[in-house]
Amino acid sequence: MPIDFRNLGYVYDKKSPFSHEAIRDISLHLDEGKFIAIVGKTGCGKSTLIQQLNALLTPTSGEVQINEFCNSSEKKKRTKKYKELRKLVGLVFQFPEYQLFDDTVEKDVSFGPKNFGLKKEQAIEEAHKALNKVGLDESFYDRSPFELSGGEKRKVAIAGILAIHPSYLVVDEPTAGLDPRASKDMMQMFQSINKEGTTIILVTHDMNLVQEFATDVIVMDEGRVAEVTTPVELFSKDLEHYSLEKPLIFKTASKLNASKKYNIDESKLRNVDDLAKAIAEGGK
Amino acid sequence: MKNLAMGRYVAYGSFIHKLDPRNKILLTILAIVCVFLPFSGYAMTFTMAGIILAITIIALAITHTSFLSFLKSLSSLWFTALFLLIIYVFIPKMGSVDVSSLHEAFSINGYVVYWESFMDAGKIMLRLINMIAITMVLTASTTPLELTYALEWYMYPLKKIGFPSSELAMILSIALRFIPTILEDVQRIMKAQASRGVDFEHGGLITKTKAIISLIIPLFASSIMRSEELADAMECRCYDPKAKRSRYRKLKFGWGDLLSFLIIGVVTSGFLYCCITNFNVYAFFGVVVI
Repeated sequence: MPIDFRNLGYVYDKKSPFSHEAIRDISLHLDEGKFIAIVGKTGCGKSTLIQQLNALLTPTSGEVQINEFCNSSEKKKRTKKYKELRKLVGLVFQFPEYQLFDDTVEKDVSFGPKNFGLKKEQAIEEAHKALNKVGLDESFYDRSPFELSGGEKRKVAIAGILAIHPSYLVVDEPTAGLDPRASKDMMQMFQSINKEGTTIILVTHDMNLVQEFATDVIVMDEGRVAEVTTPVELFSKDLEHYSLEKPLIFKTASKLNASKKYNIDESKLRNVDDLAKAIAEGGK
Repeated sequence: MKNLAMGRYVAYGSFIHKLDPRNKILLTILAIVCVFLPFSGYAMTFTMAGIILAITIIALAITHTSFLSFLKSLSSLWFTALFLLIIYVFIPKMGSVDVSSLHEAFSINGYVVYWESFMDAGKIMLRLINMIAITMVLTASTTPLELTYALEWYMYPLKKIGFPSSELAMILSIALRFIPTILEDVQRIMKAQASRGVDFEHGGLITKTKAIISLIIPLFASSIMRSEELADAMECRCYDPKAKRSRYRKLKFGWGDLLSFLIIGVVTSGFLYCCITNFNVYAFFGVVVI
């Protein structure tokens, strides 16, 4: 079942001198099973939007429907069971390593499943599976999360959400501050989860990731949804207006094409390998 | 979380906002002295408390604090009121008090409850309300930073005997500066843990303790990291705690300060006069009250 936003709006600190309208009149339909990227410049309301998805914020107008759950500005329509909604929609915040607290990695990752009602043994089993998915082996289980490196902490934190098995996984800038190798691994892990049927909603500034992994793109601008499109369509347009950069391979391909020696079909490129193949074949 | 602080600073730029913080602290102290002066007779005490309350409410109105938020901050006092009433009613009037001069309200099995007990409880309640109102005027119109600078100025003489007043002011201002940042951290961590199924509102003692631990530990970790980063950043800018420092915004005692000082000064001296001479306006005009 899909996610439906209906005229959703959110105002911070309503009725106070500090009030600030973060998003307004959002109407969106997100299908299940997709890899959706939400892009837009800083302060355009991306983070506010994703927090509506698991009822961390309650809309000040309109509503969002996630499967049978409804997060609405009207109290009557609102579904009360936040906990079940939070199991359905897993949200990984920016810099999630700040949420680690338990004394071992294993315990920290099994904290989520335990909160959602699993028995201790089952929760630990889920934790092991999740840690395995993010690429941390048994040697990490009994270590303190505070003595890990930044990238490892990030992985533990993400495993903490994966262990809950959400149907929708919302990740906010998961690769920020990671080294290129680690961020590539991270993204590939999300892709494999996506192939197993989890809907991924990725908030990012990195257009290279969008081109390589996303199936759909939502462009936000000043609190509104500016466009709902696909990466190929988005990058064939002028993006100056949204202050977005085109992905590197796309730029490279355009420059090669401009030199008239090549004729590369940009819409078929997903990653560097595709580009290399196209160049090797002479782009004919 | 943000509505926790009643009477928090809001930058309205009113007459009271623009006053010198040193002056505001002094006036607040004077006003609180007035609140605690004893007067002869209950009627006089209540009248004087009423006068202070009236002046304070006018001041609150000038600072744009809504009357509603003032009432809300008082609503937590009901338990104190009940407690005071019980204490005053059940402590027997004996010893130095001349029992024959008291007025009996009712008696239960020979235990006499006097009207004076209720009056005394009311008196303390009024004092509390006045205190809260007066401090609200100060906190609603003065930034914490201004308050620190004012305190530093008042502590200046102590420097002569080696008291580290400017260091203390620096510590205070850093602590105050980071309150909103840490509150933001709290919110962010609470949201992150809520996404992991933590329920901060419901559940038994053990679940709640676990929920709080999942908030406190990351908060400590991030605060300690932040303080280290801040210390490094300050060192990079060659911060020397012993250096003599100048200030971008100088505290200035202006005409408004003089005016407000005169008003509160006159009121305070009036109150002091009434207190010292045991002046009772009702007795003076021959009106009979209890």
